[in-house]
Amino acid sequence: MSATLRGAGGAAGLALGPAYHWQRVSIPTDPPNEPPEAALARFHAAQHTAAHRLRALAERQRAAGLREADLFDAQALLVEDETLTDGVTALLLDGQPLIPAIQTVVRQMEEALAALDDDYLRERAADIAAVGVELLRALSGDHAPPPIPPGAIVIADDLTPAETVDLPHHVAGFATAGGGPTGHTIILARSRGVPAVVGLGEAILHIPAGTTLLLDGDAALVMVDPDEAALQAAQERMTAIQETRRRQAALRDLPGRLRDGRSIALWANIGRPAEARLARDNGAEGIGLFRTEFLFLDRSAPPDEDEQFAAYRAVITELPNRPIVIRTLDVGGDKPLPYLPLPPEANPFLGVRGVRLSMQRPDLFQVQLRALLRAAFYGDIWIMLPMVTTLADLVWGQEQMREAAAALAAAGIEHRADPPLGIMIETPAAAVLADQFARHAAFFSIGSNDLAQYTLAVDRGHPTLATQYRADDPAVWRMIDLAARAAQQAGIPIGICGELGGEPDAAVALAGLGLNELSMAPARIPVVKERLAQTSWAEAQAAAARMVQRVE
Amino acid sequence: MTEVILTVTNPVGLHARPAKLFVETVRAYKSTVTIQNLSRPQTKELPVTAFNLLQIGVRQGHQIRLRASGEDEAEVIAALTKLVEENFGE
Repeated sequence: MSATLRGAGGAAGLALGPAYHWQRVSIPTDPPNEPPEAALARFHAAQHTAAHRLRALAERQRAAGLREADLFDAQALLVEDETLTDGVTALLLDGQPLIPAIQTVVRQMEEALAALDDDYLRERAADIAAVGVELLRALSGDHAPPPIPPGAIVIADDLTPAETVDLPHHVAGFATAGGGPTGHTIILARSRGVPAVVGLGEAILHIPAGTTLLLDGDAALVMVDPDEAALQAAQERMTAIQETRRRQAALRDLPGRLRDGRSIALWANIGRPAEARLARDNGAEGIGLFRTEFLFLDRSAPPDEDEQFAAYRAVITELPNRPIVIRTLDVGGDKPLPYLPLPPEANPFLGVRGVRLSMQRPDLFQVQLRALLRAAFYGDIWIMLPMVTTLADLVWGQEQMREAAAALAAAGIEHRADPPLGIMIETPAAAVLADQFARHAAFFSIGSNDLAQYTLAVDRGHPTLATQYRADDPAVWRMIDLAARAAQQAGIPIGICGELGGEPDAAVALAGLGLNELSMAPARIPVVKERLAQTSWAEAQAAAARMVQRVE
Repeated sequence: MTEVILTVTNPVGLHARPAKLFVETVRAYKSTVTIQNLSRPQTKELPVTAFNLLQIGVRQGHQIRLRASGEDEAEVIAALTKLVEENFGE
């Protein structure tokens, strides 16, 4: 009999499959008459195992470029938390067995949060519960949970974040009784691309295993035993989605080009070496922006030359023989570093940032350049300077590079002395003077996010203005057009590494301006590649002319 | 004892990544550090741990008082002040 259950929130997508009741690893039992010291030792080992597993999950999420990684780090801290440790230790010394001791203390901690007059913090009680689950899991040893049949729709009371990311890739989707629209479970499902519905209530748990379910994550509902009409509509939607995926997958290993053959390379923006694999998997032909800030943030001293060299080489290993554009350190007064004190500025975005900071700290810049030149010996590294406004900025960068190369040569260290040194076009000054810059720079890359902010004089995060002043404003496009013409005149490559490049409509127009390369978040590449393959050079040029000439 | 009163300005308050940085910074020093959320008068002064940070629910705009005592109390307060004032590097 057909019935529809409505949930509190969903992760987009459609799934059809048999219901499968997911079971948490069963609660382990304590050995009889265990002495407190032995129980304490097991507890510490379980804390160690659980924290290790959570940190590994955080690393995995981070490698996939997902922001939710921090959540697992936060849970790892809670596993080792003093309140938990002291509470459990006290109960053990009192003669209680380990499992009930953990359950008691976890429950007390959950209750302490649940009592707070703050919805957000009450939701965090779920983090504590998840920590309890992880500890019990660690204590139950290694025995794997029963395998979930491929294509099944997983039904559970609730899933912790770790359990959510642990679901095998072959599940069609999942549906939980608990959970809310802003919970971590649903956020993780979205970032994994798994269709899901949470907050369905107890009813979902009573559905017999094997019942056909149609799960619609966009509408946050689950149809139990859907009728013919619903099945057919769902099949059509799924076929259309799969068809798109199949077409995009077929383009994966082909270079980016327009319908009539004109080539436009699709590169990826990455923020960590581990993301290079994601770039490759999405068919990136190169790296158009490797941000190096990750090396410098969250630490008390700057990274040394060898650490930086290893990070740059790691990307070469993933993408051998492909161009890799590495941007030198790009921070400013809005993102200060502990070892790099910057006086507060009234206007950090108009202050010491990007290459300006490097000019004030040539010692740090030399270390980065040496690491880059050493890495360039092993692959096609291009070095990119951020926040360039005057020709003197670029000339200074060139001098610094020569100095670093000379020092490496004198020390007899393997390096490449002359990798391409280019600039970001992200200030109106650089765009307007692009013809002069083009005579000295090896390449240009448009930083459309900052270029839009500086051209339109609006903060991208401004609460009331941000929607009115956008990167597709004709003023921004004229800046891009200036840079593109100058690059073509001088015969140097020009690309873009701002968000604009990953938007299909904008990508078409950018191709029409004659850009050689578009760099974007790895996941955007298949969509943009397909769109470009459907567009002719004449259509792209017309789109470009519309953007540049448009009257608002 | 070294003491400081700070206003937390980053959007998530002292949770997630900021909480992690906060706890890790305290762990890196020898002094004991306590925190009290002055904007929630019903909460107590507690040692800085991950769970206690959850309990006192520091949100954006809240005022906190940090107290450290130990051989490197000035250093740990300076490091924590920097974290808060610089929005945890966000």
